[in-house]
Amino acid sequence: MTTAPTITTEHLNLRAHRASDMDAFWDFYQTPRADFMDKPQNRSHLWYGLMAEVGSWVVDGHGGWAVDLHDGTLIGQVAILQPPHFAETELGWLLFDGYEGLGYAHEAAEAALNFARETVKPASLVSYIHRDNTRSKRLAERLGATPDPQAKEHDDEDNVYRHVGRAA
Amino acid sequence: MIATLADTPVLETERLTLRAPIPSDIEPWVAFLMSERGVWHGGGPDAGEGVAWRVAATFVGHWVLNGFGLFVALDRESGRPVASSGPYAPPDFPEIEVGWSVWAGADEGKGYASEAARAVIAHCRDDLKMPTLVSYIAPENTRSCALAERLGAWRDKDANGPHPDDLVYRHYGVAA
Repeated sequence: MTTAPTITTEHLNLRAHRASDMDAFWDFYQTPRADFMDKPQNRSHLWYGLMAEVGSWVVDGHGGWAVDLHDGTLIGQVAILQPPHFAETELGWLLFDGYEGLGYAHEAAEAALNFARETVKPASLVSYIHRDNTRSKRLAERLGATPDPQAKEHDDEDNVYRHVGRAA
Repeated sequence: MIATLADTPVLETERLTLRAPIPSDIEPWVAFLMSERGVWHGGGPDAGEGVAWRVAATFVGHWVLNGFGLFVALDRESGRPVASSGPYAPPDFPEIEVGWSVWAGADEGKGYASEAARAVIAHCRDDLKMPTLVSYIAPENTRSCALAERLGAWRDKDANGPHPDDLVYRHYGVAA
């Protein structure tokens, strides 16, 4: 079966999702850290989302990775996704409560960004970030992305940060 | 890099070849899921393309994480994907379900759904050794209810479905 390729960085492993990741993601979506995201209404919705991020690897050649510490602790997710209702390919990240401020989100997102540049090579790559999510916006800027007010948002409340290319 | 599902079974029937989904299936699958009949499968005209894509991608991801899932049925003569059917096991389903759909309205009434579902049910029972198999069908979906009965399934009024209104049609086995 095809799954996401494992990418090892200094502190992290980006790996394919497993069904057992469900509980940790469900717990995450109950915390205020998920307030800027589209929260699943119930466990079934979460399951559908996670399955789609897995299936995306087969369909599009990119998708979601679980982010583990080297000791196997699951601490978040990074994903390269382009459902047809997204104007452009998106790089997204999330980090569980208690692991912020250590550079992990940057490390994981940078690894995914490199994978996008070297392997996926999308025509363009952006991050859709809620306008009030200042920490994520700062991370996008540290990754080298710039705000693109001309780009089509995924949601009225989003700002679009551009990593690669130009809006179509 | 577009990956493919490897080591997945292929089922042959009189007119159809059933195989795991490939990337080129997604476009006609999403089109079906956005149609009026897609409403029985988590889509429908009001749901939009994003939801339909997510449902189709979920069907593919299901193969990766569970090792089984919905087959795409090709009309062998033309090579065209015409239908989908297979075992499905989201966490809120009390038992493993088999569903079926004919993608294009023009392909309805040709017996593709029953031909595909018959092969899938035998595969679930004989190859995958699944202990029970049901279909959860909304009572308004009268065509699917009629097909379940033609396939030999019976209404199991003691079994629960994921939604209180669903009818549970049992193909074989006993509810846990």
